[in-house]
Amino acid sequence: MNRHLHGRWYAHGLWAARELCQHPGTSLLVAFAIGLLTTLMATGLLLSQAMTATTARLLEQGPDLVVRRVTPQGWAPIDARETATALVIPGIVAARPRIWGTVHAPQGPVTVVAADQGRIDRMRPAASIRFPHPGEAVVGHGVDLSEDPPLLVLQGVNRVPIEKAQRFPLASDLATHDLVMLHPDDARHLLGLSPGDASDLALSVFHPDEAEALRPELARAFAWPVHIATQQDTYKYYAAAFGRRGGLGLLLYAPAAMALILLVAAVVRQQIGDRAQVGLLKALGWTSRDIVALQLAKALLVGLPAITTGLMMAYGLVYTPSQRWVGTLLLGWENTAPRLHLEAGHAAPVFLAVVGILLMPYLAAVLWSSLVQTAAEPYDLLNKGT
Amino acid sequence: MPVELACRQLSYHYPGAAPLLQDIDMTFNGGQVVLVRGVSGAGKSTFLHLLAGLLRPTRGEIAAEGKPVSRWLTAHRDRWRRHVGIIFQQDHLVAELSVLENVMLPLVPRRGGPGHWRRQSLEILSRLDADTLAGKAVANLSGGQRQRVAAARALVDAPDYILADEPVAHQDRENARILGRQLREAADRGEVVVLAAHDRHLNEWIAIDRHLILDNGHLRPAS
Repeated sequence: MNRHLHGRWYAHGLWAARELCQHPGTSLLVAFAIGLLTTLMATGLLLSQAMTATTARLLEQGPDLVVRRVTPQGWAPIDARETATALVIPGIVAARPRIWGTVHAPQGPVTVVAADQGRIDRMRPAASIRFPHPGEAVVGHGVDLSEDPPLLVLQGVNRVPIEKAQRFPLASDLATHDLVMLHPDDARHLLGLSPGDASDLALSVFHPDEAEALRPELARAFAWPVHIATQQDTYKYYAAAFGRRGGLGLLLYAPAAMALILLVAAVVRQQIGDRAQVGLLKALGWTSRDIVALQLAKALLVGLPAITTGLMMAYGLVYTPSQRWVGTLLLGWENTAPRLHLEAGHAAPVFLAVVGILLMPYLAAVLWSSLVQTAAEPYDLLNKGT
Repeated sequence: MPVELACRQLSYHYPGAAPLLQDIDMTFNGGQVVLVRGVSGAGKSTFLHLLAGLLRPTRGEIAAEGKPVSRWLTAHRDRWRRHVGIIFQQDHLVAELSVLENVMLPLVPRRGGPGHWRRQSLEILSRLDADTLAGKAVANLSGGQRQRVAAARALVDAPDYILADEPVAHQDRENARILGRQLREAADRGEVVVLAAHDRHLNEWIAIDRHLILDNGHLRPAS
């Protein structure tokens, strides 16, 4: 039985390939349209998935809570010794002052942070960067270093020239793209912070789920108003930003996707063949099952390679750092594209979803058309078919 | 059990038209070549289409070995039609396929692979003296050549029931004899062979066992 079925599918597959070769232009057009549609759809979904996964992965390495002193004029420096205030609250297990801010670089605004040896040691993946000396910096790939030797003049509250720079690893680019890491003294000078002052406090809690619950107690602990952000807040902020920009970008896809769907539908309809040919096959002893199997074999021979190619294209566009137009279009990246993190467990459902969204309706359309055709009397198909 | 095709009270009319076939009771036995004659428009082609299960009778039934195939569901009739080889009046060859591929068509869903299809198709083409046409495109064939290819397609899988509509209308005498010999051999093997033609001189190229006349919707033995 199995051997018989296998033989039938083999025969139908061979004949389907033969029929497709009779109309190579049409077959290629369908394959191209399906492949392009797959690429468009998978790229959008995969980029969103990749951004979410990469952001989550990077945020995991960040603090559970961030406390920043606020005034009616904006934020204010915070005394580094205030870490002790935070540490008295049960559940908070670590606190460290951070020095960072936004300053002007020749290319535009960049984020400056003070180097922290502990953080450098814990960077993932293991970084080859070393702690910057005064006048040195570690910069992201989005920071322009066109001068030779590299020279970067940063303008914050004060002006700091940088004469020597290393690059952050490309794998961390989503977080370090526009980042400049300086010696703490350079960073304080640039940001106008007094010795002993910090920009904010980064806190670690015993259990990440408790972070939200600690927020009111933490707010009461300080003598001045503070803004407290949890890791979830930051995550939501990024997710909303990606979603907003990605959604707008995806709108551009809609007309193209619609046109492609119509094209595929039209070509599929034509490819199924005229009714007269179906009538002839029935007259020659082909059963409805044979004809449906032939049409499905043709659809699979065109659809599967096209969808596979489309998925590979989407993968390449999203995960190849040199490909940046997708990020430029959907997320507004202006410089080099960051390397995104691939979670196989997250990408696989995207691939399956795209296959389901595209292949299933395509096969269903072929199946339905074939069933409708084969249900008719052969005489009617032969004589009123074309 | 010898093959047999029977019509019982068979009637047919096209929608909105007068009855074309009326109350035909006739049995076609394996081993016989039966010629159905009639003027143009008498309903010969329709009669063959009904016998082949391509059309459902308006009334009555077609039975094969006693089974009422015309009453069967489409899927069952499709399966039964594997035992039927039909030569259409209009050859219905597929223009995009070569001669060999046209002949292969009935074999594809059945058994074997391309090698088997090719061997069997070439063999029947050879028996009809048409093997030199195998690689040609059907668009380049003459009417007679097309008809031989259509005949080869009908005979390629050795069907139990061979129904041929004006099978030699475009053939020269020699090729008509060759085809006639194949049909005769098929009948001698026990197959049912029913020919429809308006040409009364058909017995010059094939030995006919029974002559029938289709006249005013009724089928009767020729005098």
